[in-house]
Parts: sequence; structure tokens; C-alpha cells
Amino acid sequence: MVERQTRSQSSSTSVARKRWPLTALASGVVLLFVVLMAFWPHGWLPNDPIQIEPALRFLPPGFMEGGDPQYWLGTDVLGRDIFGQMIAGARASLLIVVSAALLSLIIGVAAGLVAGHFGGRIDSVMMRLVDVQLAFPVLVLIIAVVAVFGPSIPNLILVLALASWATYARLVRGLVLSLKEQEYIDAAWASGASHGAVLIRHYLPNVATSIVIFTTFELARLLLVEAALSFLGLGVQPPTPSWGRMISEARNYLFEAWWASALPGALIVATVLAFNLLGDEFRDRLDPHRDKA
Amino acid sequence: MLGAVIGGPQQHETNRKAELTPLLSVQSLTTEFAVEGGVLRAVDSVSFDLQAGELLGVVGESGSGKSVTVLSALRLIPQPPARIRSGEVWFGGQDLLKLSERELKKIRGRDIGMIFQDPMTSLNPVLSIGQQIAEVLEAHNPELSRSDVTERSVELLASVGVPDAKSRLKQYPHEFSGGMRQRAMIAIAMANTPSVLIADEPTTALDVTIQAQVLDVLERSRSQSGAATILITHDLGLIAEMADRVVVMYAGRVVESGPTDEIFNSPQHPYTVGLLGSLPKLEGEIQRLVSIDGTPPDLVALGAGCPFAERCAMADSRSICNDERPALELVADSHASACHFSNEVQGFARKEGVL
Repeated sequence: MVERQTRSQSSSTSVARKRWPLTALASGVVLLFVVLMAFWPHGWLPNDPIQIEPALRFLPPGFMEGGDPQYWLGTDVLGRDIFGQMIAGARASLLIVVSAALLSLIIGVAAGLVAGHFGGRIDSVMMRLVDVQLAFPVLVLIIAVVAVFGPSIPNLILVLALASWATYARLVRGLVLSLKEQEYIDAAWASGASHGAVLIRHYLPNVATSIVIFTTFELARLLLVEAALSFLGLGVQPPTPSWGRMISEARNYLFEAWWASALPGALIVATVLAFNLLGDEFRDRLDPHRDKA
Repeated sequence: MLGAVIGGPQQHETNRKAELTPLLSVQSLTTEFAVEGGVLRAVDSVSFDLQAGELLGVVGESGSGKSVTVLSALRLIPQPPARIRSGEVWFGGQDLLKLSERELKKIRGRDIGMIFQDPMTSLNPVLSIGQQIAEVLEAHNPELSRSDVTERSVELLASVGVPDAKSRLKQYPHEFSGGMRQRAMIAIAMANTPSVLIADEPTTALDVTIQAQVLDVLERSRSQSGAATILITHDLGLIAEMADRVVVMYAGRVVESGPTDEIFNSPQHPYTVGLLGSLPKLEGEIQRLVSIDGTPPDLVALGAGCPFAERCAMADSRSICNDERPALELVADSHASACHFSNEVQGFARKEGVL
């Protein structure tokens, strides 16, 4: 009650909180939609997304001539429903991308905190590992690992995480190095804080905003990498639908059936764009230095 | 532990140890920094004792090693770049410089509390005041329940004069004014009723009206808990007002130490005379404020002589001042000076119009 009052008061003054711009709101809606359709049970879909119907090959979208309203976004080379595959593909893609991002976040943030905090030899060893990691072409590494261990979803998550932790580690280490010099860290030591307490209670909350911002961009990047892997046949394996493989399978029929590759392509673009725009907005809102403008 | 401290007066006429076993005793502490072009000795065999319940003032200009001394004593100084070369810091029958990190952590914040100079930067901006008070309580009293901690935090914040303590616990440092933050810092330092409180220029960053209030709060919490205090400052007025004894530091060394009134009334070191001379006077003719000529010496390229010789009006052309470093020696009961000509300082002070 009191909170609401003060909020409405402050919004009428000049220091009122900036309103969310249309782009960020639209991005939020797109992502919400993608997440919802990915993880809502798929029973409501008009057609089974992996059902092959050779007779219905390359059915155009429902709004075009010769289209069938039941297959309102058309069918692909094997007569599978495009709409159903796009939705089912979101599930696999998001699962891989979000898990990989979280895993790399945990590894990278922990490594960065430890390296920045303890410094010395631990720091040197970890940062050289990071350098090696960053110098190695990500896609080549992933292709090599997947080729050896096989392209299952857990393998994909693991390999994407192992290819992405280094940037987190470097980001967090840099932040910790500057936090270290802050007097409140000295004050924490003076009050008898343990290493764990300083790491978790003092450093972590201070680097949290940067991690959030970076993660939104990281999700977009991982989504593209995952799509690329699936396009190359190294990602999600059939029959599980995947955005990247839909494009790959339909690319030879671009002139006969553009919708089979263009529509999943558009969805990838929309999702990646939404992550990036939202990341921009987070950065503007969470970074106090950008507030002054 | 406390028994040893109040173990009764043991008069030692022979050495410069005071009559009681000191609560905290720093013995020939030396801290160096590796810098480009050599080694900077920021603290050079500094010794002093802190008796139970007293307030010890440590004065000296910027860079004289005041802060580095106490930070070294608690091993809070980052090593490297610093290096504690030698010394002993006795507290509760243990040498803090030899304790394991784990044992030392138990002492920091529980037996020895510390207040930092700038309350704007010594509180973590992303944690609420309550969380930061709770942190030091929880670190040393794992048996306390969450509600005990909250209750004690409210009590502490109220005791340092923060109004409406309960709701202010939930606020963040940016919602506190400078004076209020320093009060919160005092609350944190006093949370576990330490027997030693170290205040490193606690009012330097505050404006004058707030300084008085914060000192008042500091004095009150101190008298309530009976904590012995080391007050680091370059404000001689503050020393005159509050300190029982004074240690004057110059170029990383103790140049004079003794009871406050003796330091002010019969200084035994020309540097102290210079400091006293730079104070504005309330009586007598209005004069320009006097400053000590020259600048502090480069600690990397310190010669063999007295570090103050170059700026000392008494040294003039005396060769011993430039050739031999004077040792800290007793000039009276519990009053020590590191000057070859301490017996001449009185006359010098009169000539300068300080006394």
C-alpha cells in the first residue's frame, strides 16, 4: 500500500522511471510466446509434427492458393506440418540453449570469482586456459567433440557450455579485480569474513547485473550456434524437430517451397533479435553509469 | 585472557613497558612495499602498546604509515605488494602475525573492530545495512537465530543514534547520509563488543558538524563497551580532546610517544613541535598559520640519518642528524622521543612560540 503510493508519487516527478520502449516490450512478448509454445504440452497441435505424409508434400501455407487450413503454415518435403515442427523445434532448441547458458554461467562465474579473488598462480593458470579456449574456433571444437561423442542433447549442452564458459570467466575476473580494491571489501575482511563469504556475499551480488546482461546476449549467440549445428546435421537428430535442420532440409527446394525454410528462419531471426533487444534494454536499465544521460 | 590484562599493576622502572600488561602490543613492526626502483619501507620498526580501556591517538601526515601500521597488525594489508618483514603483534597471549588465517578471522570483527575512513566506500552498495550488520554478527555467533540477529541489529543501529532503526535496516547505503553511514560502520565495528576498536580517520570524510556527532557516538559506544581504541587521525584537535596517549609517526617511524598532555605541553621532538605550531591559536595575536617547510622524504631513498633532518630547523649543520638515525628513547616516564637533541626541543619550541 505504502509502496504503491510512493511509486505513483515518484512516477509523477522528473525522476520517474523510464518507460519500457516498444521494442523491448515486443521482444518480451516474442520470447514469452516462444517459451510458452516450447514447453506447453504439444497435445493441442492440429497435426503430429513428426508424422510423415508423402501425399501432402510441399503443401503451401493456408493463406496461399492451394493451402489447407489444417496445415496453416504448409508442409515440408516429407509432408510434415511446418507449424508443428517450429513449435516442437523450439522445445529442443531452448532446452539446449538455456541449459548450456546456465552451465557455462556456473562454470565461468565460479572460475572468474576464484581467479580474480585469489590471483597469483591460480589466476594465471585459469586465464591461460581461458585464452586457449577463446583462441580455439568454437564451431570447430564443437564439431570435433560431437563427431567423437555423438550428437545427443546432453552432449550438445555440455559441449556448448564448455565452449562458452571462458567469456564469463574473463568478464567476472575483471569485475572482481576492480571490486577487490574497494574499501568495503577491506571492511569485510576486517569484520572477520571468510573467503566464501566475501566471494558469495560481496562479489557475487556486485557482478550479478553484468552477468544478467551478458547472459541475454549469450542466449542469442548460443541459439545461432545451435541452429548452425543442426543445419550441419551435428545438432538435434531426427526425428526430433529442430529449427536449424528444417532450414537445412528445405534449402534445396527454396524455389518450389520457400515457406519450408523461410518460416523457421524467420522464427530464429525473431528470437535472436528479441534476446538482443532485451539485452540492450537490460543494459540500459541496470547500468547506473548509463542512467545519467 | 582478560585476567592477564587486569592482572594488577607490575611496576617496571627499567624498561619502557607501561605498568599494565598491554591489551595489544605492537613490537618492531616493519612493512615494506616492493616498488619500481627499490623497496619502500612504509612502516619501520614501529612499536607501541595499547592498554585496556585507553584511547591511543596515532598522528602523522599523509603517507607517514599510520594506516599501513594497523592494517599490517591485523594482516589486512594485501601481500603482495606489501610484505610484513618483521615484528610481533601480541593480543590475548598470541602473536597475530603468526596465527593461521582461520584463527585470525575469528579475532577480526569479534575482538578487534575496525572503522574505516570513508563511509561512502566502506559499505557494500548492493547489500542492505541490515545484511551488513547481520554478516558480522553471524560470522562470529553461528548459534544466533535469524530473529536474534535482527533484534540485535536493531539494537545496535539504535544505539549509534540512527532513528527508526528497524525500518532503516532494510535500506541500502545510498539511502543513508554520510554521517548515518559512519554510524552504521560504528554499529558494525561494535557489533560483537570488541575489546579493541581501531578507527582509521573516522571523521576525515565527513563535514565538520557531522564530525562532532559521529565522534560523540563513537565516544558513547566506546565508554559503554570499555573498548580500548586506536584513533588514527591527522587532526591534533581531535587528539587533544579524546586521546589518553599519543604516538606521533613520521616517515613510517614512531618519532615521539607519550601521554597526551605531555606531548602537547612538553613535546620532545621537533616534528611534534612543527605539528603543534601548525595549529591555529585561539588566543594572542592573529598570525599566519605556520607550516613545516619541505616535504616528507622519499621512503625508497631514505639516507642513513634522521628522516626529519632535512626539514628540521634544529638539525641545521649538525652532522650527526644526517649520519645517524636516532633511536626511540625514553626521555621521561612513558614519554619517548627519537631525536638526538631531545633535550633542546623545549627551548626550540619556546623560540618558535609553540609553548
